[in-house]
Amino acid sequence: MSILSVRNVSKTYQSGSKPLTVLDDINFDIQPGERLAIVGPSGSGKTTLLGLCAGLDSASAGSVVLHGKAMEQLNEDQRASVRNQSVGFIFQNFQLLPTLTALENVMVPLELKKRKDARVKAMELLKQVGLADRATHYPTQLSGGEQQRVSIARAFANEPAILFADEPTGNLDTETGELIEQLIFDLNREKGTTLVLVTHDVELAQKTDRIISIKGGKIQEDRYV
Amino acid sequence: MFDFRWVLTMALREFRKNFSRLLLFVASMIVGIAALVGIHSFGENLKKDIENQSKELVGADLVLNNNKPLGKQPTDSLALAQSNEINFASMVAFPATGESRLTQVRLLEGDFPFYGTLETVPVEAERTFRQGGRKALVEKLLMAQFNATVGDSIKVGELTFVIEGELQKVPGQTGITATVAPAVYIPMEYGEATGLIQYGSRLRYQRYYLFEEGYDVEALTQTYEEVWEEDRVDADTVEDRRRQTGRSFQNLSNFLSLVAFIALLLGSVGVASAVNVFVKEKLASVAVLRCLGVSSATAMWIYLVQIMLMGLFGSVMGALIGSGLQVLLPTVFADFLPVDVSMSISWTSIGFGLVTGMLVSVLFALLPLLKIRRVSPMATLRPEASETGFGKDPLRWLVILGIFAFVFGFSFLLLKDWKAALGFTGFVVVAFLALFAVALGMMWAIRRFLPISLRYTVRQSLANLYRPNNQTVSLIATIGLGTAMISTLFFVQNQLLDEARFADKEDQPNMLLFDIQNHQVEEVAGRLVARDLPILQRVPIVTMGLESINGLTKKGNDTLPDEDRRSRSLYNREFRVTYRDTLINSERLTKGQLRPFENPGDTVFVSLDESYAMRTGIKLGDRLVFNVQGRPLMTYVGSFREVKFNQVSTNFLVLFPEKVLENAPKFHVLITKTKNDRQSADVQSEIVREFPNISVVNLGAIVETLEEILGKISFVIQFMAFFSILTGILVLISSLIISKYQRMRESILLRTLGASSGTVSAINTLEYFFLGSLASLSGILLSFLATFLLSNYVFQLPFRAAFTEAFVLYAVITFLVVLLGWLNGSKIIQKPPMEILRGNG
Ligand SMILES: Nc1ncnc2c1ncn2[C@@H]1O[C@H](COP(=O)(O)OP(=O)(O)OP(=O)(O)O)[C@@H](O)[C@H]1O
Ligand SMILES: [Mg+2]
Repeated sequence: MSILSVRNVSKTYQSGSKPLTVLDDINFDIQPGERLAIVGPSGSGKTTLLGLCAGLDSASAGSVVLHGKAMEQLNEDQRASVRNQSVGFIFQNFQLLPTLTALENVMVPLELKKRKDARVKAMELLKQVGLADRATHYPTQLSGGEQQRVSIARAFANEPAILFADEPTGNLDTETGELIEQLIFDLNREKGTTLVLVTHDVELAQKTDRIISIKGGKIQEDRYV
Repeated sequence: MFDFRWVLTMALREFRKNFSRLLLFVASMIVGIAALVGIHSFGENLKKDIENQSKELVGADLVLNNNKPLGKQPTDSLALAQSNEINFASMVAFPATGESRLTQVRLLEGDFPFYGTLETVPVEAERTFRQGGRKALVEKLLMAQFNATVGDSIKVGELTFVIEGELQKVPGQTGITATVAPAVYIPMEYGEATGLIQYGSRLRYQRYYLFEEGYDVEALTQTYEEVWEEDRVDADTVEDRRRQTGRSFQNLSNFLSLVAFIALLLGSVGVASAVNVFVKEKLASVAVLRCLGVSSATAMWIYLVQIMLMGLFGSVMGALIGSGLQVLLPTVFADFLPVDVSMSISWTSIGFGLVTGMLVSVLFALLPLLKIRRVSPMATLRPEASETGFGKDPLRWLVILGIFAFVFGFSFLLLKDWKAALGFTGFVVVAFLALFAVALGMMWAIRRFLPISLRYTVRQSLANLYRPNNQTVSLIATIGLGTAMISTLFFVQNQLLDEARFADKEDQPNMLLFDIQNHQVEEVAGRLVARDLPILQRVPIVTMGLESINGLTKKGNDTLPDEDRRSRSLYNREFRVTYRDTLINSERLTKGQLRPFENPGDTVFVSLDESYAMRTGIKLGDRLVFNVQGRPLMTYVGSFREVKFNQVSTNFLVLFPEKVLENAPKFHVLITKTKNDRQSADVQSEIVREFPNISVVNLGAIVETLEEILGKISFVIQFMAFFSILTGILVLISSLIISKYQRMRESILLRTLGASSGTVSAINTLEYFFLGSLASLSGILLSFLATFLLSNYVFQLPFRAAFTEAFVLYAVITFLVVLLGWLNGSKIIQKPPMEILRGNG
């Protein structure tokens, strides 16, 4: 059974008077443990698609079944609960909560799952991303690469079945970017998580198992590497 | 699904970082809470003190009073002691200077007050005055006005007295009563000899009783209620007075609480607008939380809990400051207080303040906080997404409803009358809407009509008012409402005083001579004519009582059920009426017509003051039987008149036609116009010297008294308005600090682009100048409107715009805003650009 199934999904925005179709009849399935890259030119609808897959937004038409749950049948709060149970996120601009320390940022998903060992587990994850000594620092006291490492630790904290990453290295220099990629792939392998990655970076895409390229809201190509 | 412990943990984590910012939000609320708690505590203490000092308030256990001699009373033999007083208004003169003034003369016999003392300087004067001799105790205000000292003499009627002491305080008297009618005490035995006790004098006879400790005075008054009612004797017990005084001060303190509440509401607008900025900054974090699986309600609670914590903090601060504020209040209200007010912590007031503060902060913060519910997790991927989808939250209306309900509930709690509470709520809503409308309108107009040809600095500074996250409108509203309160007060006060002063300029009467006896009137008129003064009006006055209305006598009226009964005061009142067949120019006929009395046997038609008829429910055509010196006189109500009070004139509730009262005993009022103050003083001193029973009032004296009273009242109102201004300033300061980072970025960008620091500073200063101008002008505009409405509908005076005062106010408020902005801005400009790059200034 696939962990994510996208069927006839379209997304239309009402911009001004005329509707703007950003995604048009998208179909694909992802198997557990699979590593997928979504590529395409700017404005092609990658981020929109990722948002729909992760249940951040709802499709105009079609169906998204994430971890056995049909997203379009759930309301926002129910989708939030699905996200907490089975989804992890890594963002281009890190998206750490600025008022929380690194450790607390990682603790949030665990606490939401009501895990008693949130602190210990979070500390462990920070250790894995090599930031144990920065646990009490606030995001502004960390460099971009460090922030992204914290956000990776947070993404894996709730042991998600599927991990979504939108341009995770987009804001970082090449060297740091490669470090981050390595970290994501290593943790992914270790935890056996499914990975959906949006990127411009062809090299990065090549490191995954499968590449879907979209253009003008349509799937151009869907191939296994 | 809702994990409150986690919400609390998160709130506290956030709180750590947000504390100083959140503190700014509630800062604007603290003043309002402080004012509320201060006033409320003061009111509570006052209530307690009135309770404790109620005997000193009356000075006796029981007071009887009537407008004719009390004679023997059944209570005389039951009391331990009694003391008699006759009081009336009369001129007193200071022979040393020849100056005179209308005062309240009190003839005293016995040991009144039995509780409390007549406080005098020197202290022993209170005692030596009672040892007999022609001695007087004179109100300190009067002494000051005429530069008199103890040992000088004072002339009351035909007799001269030595001033034995200066009166500091009389039981039950306040500074205001002393201003209107300063008291002069003289021994009762000289009463007759003053020649002032005669027909036409408005005498009040009072008898004070002292009873044994624990004597049931209430029961006693019950026993004799009927007898006294019959004789029109008014009995006043300590309990009555305590109730009355308590009630009127409760009303006062409630009124002031409402004023403080307005300051609090102003602060709440500040809270809402600051929280709005706060929320906008937090939207990104909320989106992340939503991504991590936090439900929208939980996310909102995380921030609401922080606001609640801060609200609690602010309320506690406010309550502390408010409790301290009490120290000031007795000084502020000194002239209005009949008792010494103690100071103590009032826990009810503190509780009241805390609850109000929490409610206000939560309700007003909820409005912007609701946006959090609408944040899409998509915003983490695409930040613009957070800007869409607001405003449609149906809960918003619920919160707005909640705010209205709260304002209504609060005012109902204080006013205990749902109509009045509704009125107040309406007033608040309209005032805020009006200000917001003015603010928005002005901003729109600037945008719309701003010439592009303006200098760059001017354009840039105006554009700054529209920067994202600007708080311009709420600043205009808060500072504006504060300005509006103060300026309305100024304008109304000015208007009233001007009206009185202007009256002298035109060909209007400015001097009134009254209590002229029938045999004196020709001679007095002669004196005026001899001085070449016009007799503008010669008004005969006849006193009478009302016997029956449409056949219903006082007795009959008493037997009626409450809802059908007419006011007892109708029957107990002594009517002072005049007669003429024409209207004078301060009068206007509103209904019916004046009908002269032609032949004996004709019906007598009288004309009533319309508002008095309204109050007492008398209709056109009603049959009124008056008692004129023991003789019944049947009349019908033929017309209603409206009387304007804006000029020196006599005002009569009842006007008779000529030829009816010509033979009744009467006295007279003469009205004239002097050319200047000097002449007024001369005439007054001559008349008072020659005819000591005649009272003289000149416009100058009225204006002076009016000025003094208005000064005292306005001091109190200014004190209250001060809270609103202070709140406005705090809102301003907090908004300045909130926008600091943004301003820094802007100014550094400008400097990077090559603007000199002088230009940047000019732009900043201009921005505050515009902000201050807009706010104060909105306020002034609103207060012009309020003054216009007040003068037209309440005082019935022509509206005169006080442009000079308005300009001064405008300049002061604008300067204040510019100064604050400049203080804040100069620090920004000194910051090196690098600091901005690192972020988080
Ligand atoms: N709320 C919206 N309303 C209207 N149009 C939108 C909205 N959100 C996105 N779009 C449009 O949808 C299209 C796809 O946007 P999307 O962000 O998915 O592209 P992308 O492939 O992620 O591009 P990039 O590589 O630049 O991030 C764009 O043309 C964008 O303008
Ligand atoms: Mg994108």
